[in-house]
Amino acid sequence: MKKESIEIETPEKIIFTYNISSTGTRIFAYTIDVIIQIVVVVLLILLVSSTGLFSFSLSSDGFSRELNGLLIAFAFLLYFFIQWGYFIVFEVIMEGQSPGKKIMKIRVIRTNGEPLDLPTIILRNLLRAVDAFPFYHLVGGLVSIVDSRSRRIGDIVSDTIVVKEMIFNLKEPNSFTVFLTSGKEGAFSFFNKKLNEEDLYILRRFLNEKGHLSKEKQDEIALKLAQSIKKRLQIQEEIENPLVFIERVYRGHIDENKE
Amino acid sequence: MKTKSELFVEQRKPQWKSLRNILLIIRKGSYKALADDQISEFPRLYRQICTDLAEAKMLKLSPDVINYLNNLVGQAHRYLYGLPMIPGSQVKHFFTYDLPGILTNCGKYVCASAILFLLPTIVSYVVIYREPGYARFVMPEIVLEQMEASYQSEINSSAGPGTGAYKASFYIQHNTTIAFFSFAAGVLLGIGTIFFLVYNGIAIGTIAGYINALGYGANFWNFVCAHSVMELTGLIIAGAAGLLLGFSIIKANKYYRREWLKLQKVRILTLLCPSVFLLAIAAIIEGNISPTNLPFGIKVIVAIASACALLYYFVIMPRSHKENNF
Repeated sequence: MKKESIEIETPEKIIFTYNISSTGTRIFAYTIDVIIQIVVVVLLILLVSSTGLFSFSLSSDGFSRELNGLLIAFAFLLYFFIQWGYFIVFEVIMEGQSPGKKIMKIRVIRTNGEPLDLPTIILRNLLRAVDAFPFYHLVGGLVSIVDSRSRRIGDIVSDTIVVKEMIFNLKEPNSFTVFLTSGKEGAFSFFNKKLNEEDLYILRRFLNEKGHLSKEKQDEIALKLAQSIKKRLQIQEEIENPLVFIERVYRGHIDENKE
Repeated sequence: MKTKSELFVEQRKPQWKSLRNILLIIRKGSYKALADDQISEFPRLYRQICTDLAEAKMLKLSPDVINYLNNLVGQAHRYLYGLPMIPGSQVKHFFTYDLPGILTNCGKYVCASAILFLLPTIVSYVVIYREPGYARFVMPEIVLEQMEASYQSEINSSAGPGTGAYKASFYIQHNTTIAFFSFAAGVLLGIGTIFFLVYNGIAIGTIAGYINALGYGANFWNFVCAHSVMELTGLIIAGAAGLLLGFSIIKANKYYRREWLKLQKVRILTLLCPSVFLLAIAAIIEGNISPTNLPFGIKVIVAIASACALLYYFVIMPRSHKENNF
């Protein structure tokens, strides 16, 4: 069974949740990173080969050959650095992200909520050697499909997990989005009937997960739900906004249960 | 009359907003852009909002509110407990104490790795030296022909200036990649590393035996001698790190496995670290000293000097540190 979120306990003993990134998203992020790496390496080869031709055709004196040798040396070192250091460096300076991960809005965190540190980053990225076997992270991809938290081998060993980035520009909750009333305040305390636990569960799931749906889909489901609630509760009034109505009904029940 | 949710949001919204402003500033630029009072406010606000989140969850407030607070706490937690800076003193401590001491600390694994690597090397060397015909059962013929061709003639250093640097950097890339592979393969309960060690040992032993049996021994040792100590030690240490990784996964002592791996992480990587440095040094020697027609004696001196340096740094120095501590 795939888990969708992971709970992080802060040092303040408060628990908050991250949504776990899917394997597909990670493959996309990896593809972007690979493209960046390939582009850099190709540019490197072009640079070296063009200047190499230049220096040999002009003259084969000691100095230009020395320069050419140093250039090739630099190219090899840079290639080595890109091969093994790309992810390590980016995950250090971008705190758990690489360019690909940033574009796909995902981030590496440690499962226990501690800050990401250098040994963890190095270990999880050196183990790409195993995850990448035999090509294009096939082993890592298969492992992360099987794993309940979509981790590859490097993640499992270094105890990290790739999560969806927290949405920063979240709409601020307005007092009115919580309990916007189209009719009279507290009208729901006069219900003839009440929803049972099962109905409330359905409503809760819908309210929790409606963010993943498109606007039209949300409205469509909300309308259906609102109609059946209306029937169940024997409400006569017209429903103006099904979404708000559902939220009101749900809140009404929960607040009442609390008191 | 207002509901609980409404009251909750109304009362605490100003604090949420000021935390969000602080996060916005950090996100845009850096911590330096924060005003003095904001810096002192940040942890306090964060803690306040942590309790708000807990309270909102307990009161089962609207998912909107919980989601918003969850995001706020997540962002703030990431910034407040971000990647720690590594102070320079720690780097110095690492190179004077942790790194030199690691080989004796992980002596068992280094010995195991050395045996797993050197035994197949010696055995295959002896066997192939006596019966060069067996070489083609171990290595592809193309490789053997290439090796034969490259050691047939004496080393000529007419390759010219500038070649030393790029050869060295090629060897760095090539050998370190092999070392990293044999380390990472250790994640398969150490079996992968054992395979790499034995395989590399057989390959090196076979080629050495084959070339010597054909009578090009002088050229071979002339080329290999200078960088061999550093390079073989580097490969053995990478293997030791792979074995340590595998064994840490197999046996977690009294801990949960993930806790044990967390504790072992630094030790494993510290053990891997010298192999990178040694292979880099070996590559520089292999690019600049080995392929030149310097007298054989000088190359032997280079080999002995590097062995002494290793002995001093990894065995004698940590021991003297230990004595000073007592």
